[in-house]
Amino acid sequence: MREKQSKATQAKHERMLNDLFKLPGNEKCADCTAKNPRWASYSLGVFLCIRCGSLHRKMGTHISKVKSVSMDRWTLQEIQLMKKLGGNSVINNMINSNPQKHPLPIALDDDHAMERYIRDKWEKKSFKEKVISISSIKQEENSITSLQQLGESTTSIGTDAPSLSSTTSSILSSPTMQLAGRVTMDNTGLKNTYNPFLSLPSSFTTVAPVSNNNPFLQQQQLVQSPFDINYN
Amino acid sequence: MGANVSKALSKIFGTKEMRILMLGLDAAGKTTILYKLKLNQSVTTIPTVGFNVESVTYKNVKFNVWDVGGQDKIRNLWRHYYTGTQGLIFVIDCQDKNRIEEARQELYRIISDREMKDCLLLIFANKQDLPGSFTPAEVTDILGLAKLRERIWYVHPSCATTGDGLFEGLNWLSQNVKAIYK
Repeated sequence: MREKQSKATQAKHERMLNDLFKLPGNEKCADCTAKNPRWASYSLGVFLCIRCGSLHRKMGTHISKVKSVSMDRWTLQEIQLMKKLGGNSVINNMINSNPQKHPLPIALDDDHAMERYIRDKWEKKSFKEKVISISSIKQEENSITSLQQLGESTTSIGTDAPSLSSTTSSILSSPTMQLAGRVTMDNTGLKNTYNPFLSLPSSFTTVAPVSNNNPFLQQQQLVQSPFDINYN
Repeated sequence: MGANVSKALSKIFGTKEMRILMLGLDAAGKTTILYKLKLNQSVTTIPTVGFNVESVTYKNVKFNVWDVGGQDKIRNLWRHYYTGTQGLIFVIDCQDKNRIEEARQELYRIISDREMKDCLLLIFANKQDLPGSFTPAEVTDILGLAKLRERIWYVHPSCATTGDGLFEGLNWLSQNVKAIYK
């Protein structure tokens, strides 16, 4: 449920959002490095230009949840999450630690090339260096317990951006990211939603008996307006 | 009698016009649906600031489809498009499970407006291609459509990028428009 925000709250949130632009890298689009990004993915914690933002929208909300800085209302949790994640540079270092190896498409105005780049980067996460040492995980675990005592705000952030779970479960390189992932994992109901390729939620199968069913065939019986019943 | 004949002829040969308003939360797929219907192409859209309008002719009905941007702060502009609307297409992103409640609230805000009291309600349960998305039945349930009185409504699954389900939706609109506008 979305609560109504007063004018004052909205103004405050706008100020907080504008402050976020001071974080390193946030003055440029996280993907194509265009100046003054006015859109953001609040689940990934990056600021984007309108075009990269639309390509993020195209992937679906299980990968990236996009909002406009000026045309959308932001909740405090979303803003705080953006802040915690540390800005474009921090996230880019994590997801694409070796940008020389994965150069941007030469023709930046080529939507298809850019879409492929963005999907590789965020959906397949194929730019990420896969080095995880056990000791570093141990360390993270300790920092989580201390961080979890931060209390309420952390929990709400975790639930607000559950799509992080898929990102974090494999990165494990920042305490904040790990924390967000942790909190979401407890939220068992949501977990399946965000790893849909692994398994379908059990409730799903009861509604749609065959998992690879074609919804276009069976909708006639499923959804019927009361008017159909009355007059036919 | 002459009037009857001409009426019958226009029923057979004439094209009806229908004013359609397409609304829904941001990133639900409204613009993608509009251009898939119009051009039969899956275009890469950018977030709509303002509106797009296209006319699509299907089965002798000319649909004038208005697609208005769905970003949170520009949703109060929707009501300026209500007048004369015969059909509302409300688009749901079935993958975005966290925001379906928000979608429900917006839907009820629209249909409780006096100017929208007679219009047909078509709901596209969009993005059926994405994994783990709501089924049309689940959408019907969550939106509480069964409780609606005096409203002709219909939920249809769709996938805007492939075009699946879109024309079936228009077909339903064209068949039911007579029910209200004789």
